[in-house]
Amino acid sequence: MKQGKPSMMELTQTKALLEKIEGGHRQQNIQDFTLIFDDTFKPTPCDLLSCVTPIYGAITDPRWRIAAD
Amino acid sequence: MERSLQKKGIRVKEYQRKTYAVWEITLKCNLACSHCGSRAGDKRDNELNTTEALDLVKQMAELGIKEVTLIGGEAFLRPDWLMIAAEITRLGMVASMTTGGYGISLGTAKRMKAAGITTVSVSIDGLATTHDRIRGKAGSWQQCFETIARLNQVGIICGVNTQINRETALGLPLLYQALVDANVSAWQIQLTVPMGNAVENSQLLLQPIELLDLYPLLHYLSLRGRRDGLTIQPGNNIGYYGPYERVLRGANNLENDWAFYKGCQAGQSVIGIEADGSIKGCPSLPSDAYVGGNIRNKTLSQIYYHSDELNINEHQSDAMATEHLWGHCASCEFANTCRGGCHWTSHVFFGKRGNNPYCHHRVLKLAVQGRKERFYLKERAKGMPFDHGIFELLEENIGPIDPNAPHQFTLKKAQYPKRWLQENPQLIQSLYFERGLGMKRYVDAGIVDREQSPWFKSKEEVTST
Repeated sequence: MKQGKPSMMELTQTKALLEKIEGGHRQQNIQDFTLIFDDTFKPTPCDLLSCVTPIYGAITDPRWRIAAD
Repeated sequence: MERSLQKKGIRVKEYQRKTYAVWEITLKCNLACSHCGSRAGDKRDNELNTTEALDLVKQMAELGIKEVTLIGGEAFLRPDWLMIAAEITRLGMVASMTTGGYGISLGTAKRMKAAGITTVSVSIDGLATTHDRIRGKAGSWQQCFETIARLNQVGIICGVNTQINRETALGLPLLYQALVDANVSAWQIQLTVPMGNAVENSQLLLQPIELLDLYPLLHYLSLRGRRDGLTIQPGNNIGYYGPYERVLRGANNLENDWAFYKGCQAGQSVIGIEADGSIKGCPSLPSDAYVGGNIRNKTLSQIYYHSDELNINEHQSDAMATEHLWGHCASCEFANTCRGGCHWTSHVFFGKRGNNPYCHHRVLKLAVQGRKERFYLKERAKGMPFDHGIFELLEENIGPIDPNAPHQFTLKKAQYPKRWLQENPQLIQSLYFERGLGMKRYVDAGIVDREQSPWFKSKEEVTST
């Protein structure tokens, strides 16, 4: 079979950029996922479930901000 | 390069290549799926006879194929299908199968086991009502689970594959739980794309912006699957390179730092075969542009090594690797590795490969800037197997939910098992937060300037408003 393969240099650069997008946190299990919500974010004043403005719900509601900001 | 990385203590796993063929042995089918890319139903007029099929098996073994997946139509509707499977096994290759799951009795399951079929993937699209409607057969959803039970009974490993579209996406969490309850261990997911019957039913298709809500859910399901023993396997058009890339592609091993998409492998590690002996680099690719030859006229080796159509991915590490890219893909940060993602997906939208609208990275990057893409059908398909129409792609500002698209996928509208919501009453909110966090990372990583984004303002700006 053919043996073409991608460049290791390109793969290394891709991996580095992916790590930036992951923000240094690649989740390992479901427990971690829940903890992100519990620990990182403060309760939001926006009731997301009744948010009818734009498709982006949370992110577009002017009352909502990521706590880290 | 690999040695230098290893000297630095970076673990580099040898690039592994699984060589396999996916073989449509008949186009005859007992279902009538509204998204069927091959428009299966009646057999092709000129399908390979038994002698030709067995010779092709021999050629595959000689070429170095390690696994052959029999598909249709419905593979078991071809009378000699178990003879073909047995020959694949006899020549040292793994025989597997993808089926609609309608009509496999316990007796058939035993004969499959005797022929050496080791694994079977059953196609299940959504919950019972949705599946039966999409597949055009009442009771077919229930039959899938009965088939899984029978195959398990004879010792054949079973997985499930699911098309994700506007009919099925909202029920993904409930389907996930049904699969866990049925002891299914592997679930391959794939986005429905406009090929064959799906062109005429293009209202089924997710618009790119819906991926923004879909991927946090897929990420959640993937993590949950690790706990519940259900490995979620992303198909080739799931991705690419957003914040969940390595979780989704590394579901079997989250320690693998290199588990990310490395570009289309059609014609490299994969070949696709149509029932009339036509050879393609991937079973899903449109016939008109990607058939490299027919086994009745040339040998498999000649077609595989020497046809242009099966060498579209020959260049993976030089300047020619990205020559075919256009649109957003041409200027993408991941272009050299991704090479435009799944060629099948981009080609069936636009009639050529190299610009893939079903890309999570692209959707996120645009959304952070307050932009989105939307496609609509411009030219209809001709009505042949594996054909496609032509879609036009628009870029526009993000606006309110389209009232004319009540089936649009959102996290809020998705249906979750009651037990999940009892376990975590804030599940839906946390998925929305995860989505927002993913967008914020694009700003933090410098992929989108904060000034270009209408969503992420500085503390000072927030205070002043």
